[in-house]
Amino acid sequence: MPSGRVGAGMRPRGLLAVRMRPRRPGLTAALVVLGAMVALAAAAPLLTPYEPLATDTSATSLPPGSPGHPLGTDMLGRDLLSRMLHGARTSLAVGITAAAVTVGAGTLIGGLAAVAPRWLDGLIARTADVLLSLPLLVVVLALAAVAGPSTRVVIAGIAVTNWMPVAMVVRAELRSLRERLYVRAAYGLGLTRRQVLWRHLLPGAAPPVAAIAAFEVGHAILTESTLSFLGLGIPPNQPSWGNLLTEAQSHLLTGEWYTVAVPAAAVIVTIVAVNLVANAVGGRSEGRSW
Amino acid sequence: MALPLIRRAATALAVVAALSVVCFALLDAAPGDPAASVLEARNGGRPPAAADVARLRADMGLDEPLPVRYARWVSAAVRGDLGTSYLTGRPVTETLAATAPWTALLTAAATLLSAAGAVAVGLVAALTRRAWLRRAIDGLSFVLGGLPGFVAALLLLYVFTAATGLLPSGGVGRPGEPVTPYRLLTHLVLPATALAFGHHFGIYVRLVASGVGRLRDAPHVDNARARGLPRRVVTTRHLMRPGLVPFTARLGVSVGTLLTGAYTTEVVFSWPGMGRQAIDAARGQDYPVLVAVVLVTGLVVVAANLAAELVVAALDPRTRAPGRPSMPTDPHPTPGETAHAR
Repeated sequence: MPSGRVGAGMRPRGLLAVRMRPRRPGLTAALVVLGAMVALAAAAPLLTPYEPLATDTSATSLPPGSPGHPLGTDMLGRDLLSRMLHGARTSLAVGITAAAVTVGAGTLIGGLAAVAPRWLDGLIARTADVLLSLPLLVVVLALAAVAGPSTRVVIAGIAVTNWMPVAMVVRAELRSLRERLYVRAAYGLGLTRRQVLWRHLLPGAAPPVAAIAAFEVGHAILTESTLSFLGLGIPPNQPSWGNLLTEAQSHLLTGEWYTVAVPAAAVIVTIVAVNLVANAVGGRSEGRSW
Repeated sequence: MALPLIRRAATALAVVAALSVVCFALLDAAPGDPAASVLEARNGGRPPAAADVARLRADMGLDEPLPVRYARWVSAAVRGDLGTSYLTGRPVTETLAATAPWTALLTAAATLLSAAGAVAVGLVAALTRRAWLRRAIDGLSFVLGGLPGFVAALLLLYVFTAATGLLPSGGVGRPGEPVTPYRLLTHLVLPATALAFGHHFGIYVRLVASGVGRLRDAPHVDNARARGLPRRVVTTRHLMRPGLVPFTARLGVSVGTLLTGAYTTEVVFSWPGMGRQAIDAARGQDYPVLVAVVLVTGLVVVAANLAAELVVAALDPRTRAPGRPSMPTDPHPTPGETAHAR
């Protein structure tokens, strides 16, 4: 399926070059936004003089634009800009780590299914089917409740409930690639199984996996923020976008809308940007879905 | 028809079995001694005597080996006994019976809103000749794809309650007041809307639009138009009936999406349903209630998926033909979309 696109005299320049056509303002904007997010999150301690947990009783509930506190402060006098930036660190790190673990596990399981004997392949496929039929966010939620709130539990929960699509795509890709002429030629030329795997099979399966991986990042950020919002994700003392929203919830009715709006906007913008990139990597231009 | 039906039922049974294992594992792995927790709840918070705990442990079969415990739990669950709440000391089924109808009401309202909205918007996107309108709908559904349900709920809460005071902020009415249909409706509007137009809505719009859009210039539709059939008839009978099959298939899955989304929506709007009960139970470490809600949610989801498959089989003759692959529910499956729908 994907390699059909590669033909027609086009030489891929690098892994994703094939799939990213030039002049796509949406994609460019998404990449710029994500780049900025990551840079801001990485540079958080340099950008704000305040500790995200430091309280200041002389400056509580300041509105945005107050001197020294561009986004204002919360009820305990904690600087919201600092909390946002440190929250971005947590949310992005958890999202990316969880997606990486998910894709890694999915690739391993899918690769195993592709080469496994029939019964094991069938067992993996059935397990994936059954898991996909369960309301997984609810299961993660219960898992987090039983295990107690912690970053590690969030990441593990996301991986355990999301590896299936990755595994299914990897398995299908490997199975189809294995029969391709160039792969059989590689065997014919005397390459070992390992060489074929690393030089031909895995690079061939990379583009569709990259697309899923990008979606998984968005999904992981969504799941993390939901779990944290419910008090079952990142421990409440650590700022993350979901935790900020939990605290802000009670301020909503008293008119301090910005405490909700800022982290909410960050979550939405990030997920939309990630999905835009994922769509582009997946090779389907957005806006052309029908 | 019979054989695929049996296979589907068997798959559903396997899912239920897996669900029971997951639920039992959660309950079994939960920290704390269930017998002590139950006794403490019944005594009104006083720590129970060691002898009583030991007696109840034996009664509950907690000292038996793992397979026996699992078998006991399953047979009790089948008979409608899901254990005792650690917080209230009352049977879990009582709590469920009190909260489940509210969740059912909220989910049903959201499903209706969501389906009606998706069909309307999707039809416009599929049938309009105005490119900008199509692009606007596409962009909107894409942005909605990044909107977590609880954020949607918070935004609605701000706009309609905090800023304008148009609608009540949550619950189902003031305590002590009778619940009239009108009052119920005013309390239902916001949570149902928040739940209906979450991140799955964009996927529905796309499904409707792609399902109907592919048929817009199909021969049978041209034929119907050429025969001079009224536009309404062409749209409903020749475009919508076959074009909405993928969407209908998806609606079954949507029950699970909405039930899951109901957890956060109910928390934001203090809706007295199962979801909020589960979150309260999770925060209060009331594991029997939490696991019971997970179990019920899972059972409903499995039933809804099965029902959707049967409806699709009734609507689309191709899925009934033996030996042929069933029609794909989504002509352009994007991995992330299915991931988000979960």
